[in-house]
Order: sequence, then structure tokens, then C-alpha cells
Amino acid sequence: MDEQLDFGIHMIIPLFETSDGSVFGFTTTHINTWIVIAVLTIFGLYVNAKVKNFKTIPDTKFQVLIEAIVDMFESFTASTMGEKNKSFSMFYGPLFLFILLSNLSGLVGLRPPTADIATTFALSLTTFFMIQWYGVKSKGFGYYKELMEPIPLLLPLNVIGELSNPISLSFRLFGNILGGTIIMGLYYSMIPWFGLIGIPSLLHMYFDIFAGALQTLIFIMLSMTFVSGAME
Amino acid sequence: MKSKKGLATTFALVTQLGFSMVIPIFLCFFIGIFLDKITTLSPLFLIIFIFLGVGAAFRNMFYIILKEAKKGEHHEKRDFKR
Repeated sequence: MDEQLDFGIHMIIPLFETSDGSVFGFTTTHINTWIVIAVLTIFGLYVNAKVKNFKTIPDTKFQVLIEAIVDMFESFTASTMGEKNKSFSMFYGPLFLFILLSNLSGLVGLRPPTADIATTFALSLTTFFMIQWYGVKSKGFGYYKELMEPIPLLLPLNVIGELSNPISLSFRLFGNILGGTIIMGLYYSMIPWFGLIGIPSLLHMYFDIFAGALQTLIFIMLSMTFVSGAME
Repeated sequence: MKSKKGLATTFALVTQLGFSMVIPIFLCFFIGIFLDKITTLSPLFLIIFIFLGVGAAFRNMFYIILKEAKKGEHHEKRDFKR
């Protein structure tokens, strides 16, 4: 049982050890993130090579598919952030694909990189800094005056509220994906052999595909809502 | 299609309500404990920060609901014009 009960983060390539015994190096999260990045990069390079042959009127199924994906991201961004912020799809499209592929990587036996708080916190910090940057860009430093609204006495509450946004975003994605990973790990280790026929595919369908896609959508949508809210 | 997207955004924001309420309280709880540890005023900071956390949690909920209410108002006005 213990041999199979494995859903933790492991050190794959240790680099150095500190005086207090902590080991620094590359973990399963790093390796799996690189695999996801490699898959996306290969896909991107392939599309880039094919784009040169694209016609004004699509004549291949591949061009139709790629145009449909790009159009879908643009219309999704426009409906959430407004027509004038449609260009954000260039950032949120790849981010969506990265998180989605990370969540789905559990299907091929990898430990999802999003089941590590470091990955999700880094992603939500990106949102946090985007909120600050685009808030200041659209309203100047008067953006921070909004923290004193409706009365200056509420400044501490507003600051804590703003700081809790990236944390709640990261914990939500991390918790959902880690929960799925733990439940699948427990299932594989505790169920006798006849329970491993057919049923795991249903569980994977729910925890990896459904929850993974839904949480990706929610993360992207909330990030878009926060950033566009800062610009309004 | 548009109403489905609106529904998805509302769903995302509503399911965020729980997190928006819990996270500030925990954040302030840990800040309070940390400040109590580095000073000798225990449990003063813990109490202050728990109150601040609860306040921030209500503030977050208020803003999320306000955002949705404004959107609903906007949709109603648009439908009325039609």
C-alpha cells in the first residue's frame, strides 16, 4: 500500500544542501512544468511554421481549428474585460493553455504542477502585479486613493482585502487540484484490484478533466475580472 | 451565448465568495501571531488583526456582491431600453 500511496513532491535533482539540512534542487513540480512548457512550445513552433502558409480564406482544417481557438480566446476576453481590452487575449490565451495542460497532466501519470502552491502563487502574483500596473496606468497614482474610499478609516481593511486577492486565487486552484491528486492517490493505493477496472477512468474524468477545466476557466475569469476592475 | 458567459462569470465570482471571506481572516490571524511573537504584547496584535481580518472579509464580500448587483442593474437598463 505504502509503495503506491504517493502524491507528494519529490526532489529529483538535488543541487545543494543548506546548513539547516534543507535541500535545494529541482523537484517533480519543476520537471513537470518543463514538460508542459515543452509541449506548448513545440505546439507553438509547429503552428508558427504553418501560419506562413495560411490563406485569407481557410482551406485546411488545421487553419480553421487554429483560427477558431484564437477567435474563441478573443471573444472570451472581450466579453469578460470589454471590447477595448481584447488585446489581453494574447496573455490570457497562453496562460489558459498552460494551466489547462498542467491540470490535465495528471491523466498521463504526471503530478500536476498546479498541485504545488508555489506554481499557483506565482501565477496569482502575476495577476496581482497586473492589477497594480494597469490600475496605475489607467488612473495614475490616484488608483491608490481608492483604498481610502469610502472613508480613510477603512484603509487597513482595503489593503488587507487587496492583499488577500492573490492568496485566495492561488489557494483555490491549488486546493482543487491537490484534492483531486490526493483522492486519486488514496484510491489507487487502498482499493483492491477489481476496483481498478473502469472506475478510475470516471474519477479521472471528474477530478482531472472536469475540475481541471473548470478551475482553469475560473482562475482566468477572476484574473480578467480583477484586472479589468482595476482599469474601470 | 452571451447570457451563458455572464452566468459563468457570476458563477466564478460567487464561488470565490467563500475564499474571499476565509483568506483575509487567516492572513490576519497569522500576521497577528507573528507580531505577537516578535513583540511582548501577546495577545494584543492577534485580537486587533482578527478584527481587521473579519472586517476585510466583509469588505471583500461587499465588493463582490456590489459588482454583481451593478452588472444586474446595467443588464436590466439595457433590456428596458430594448
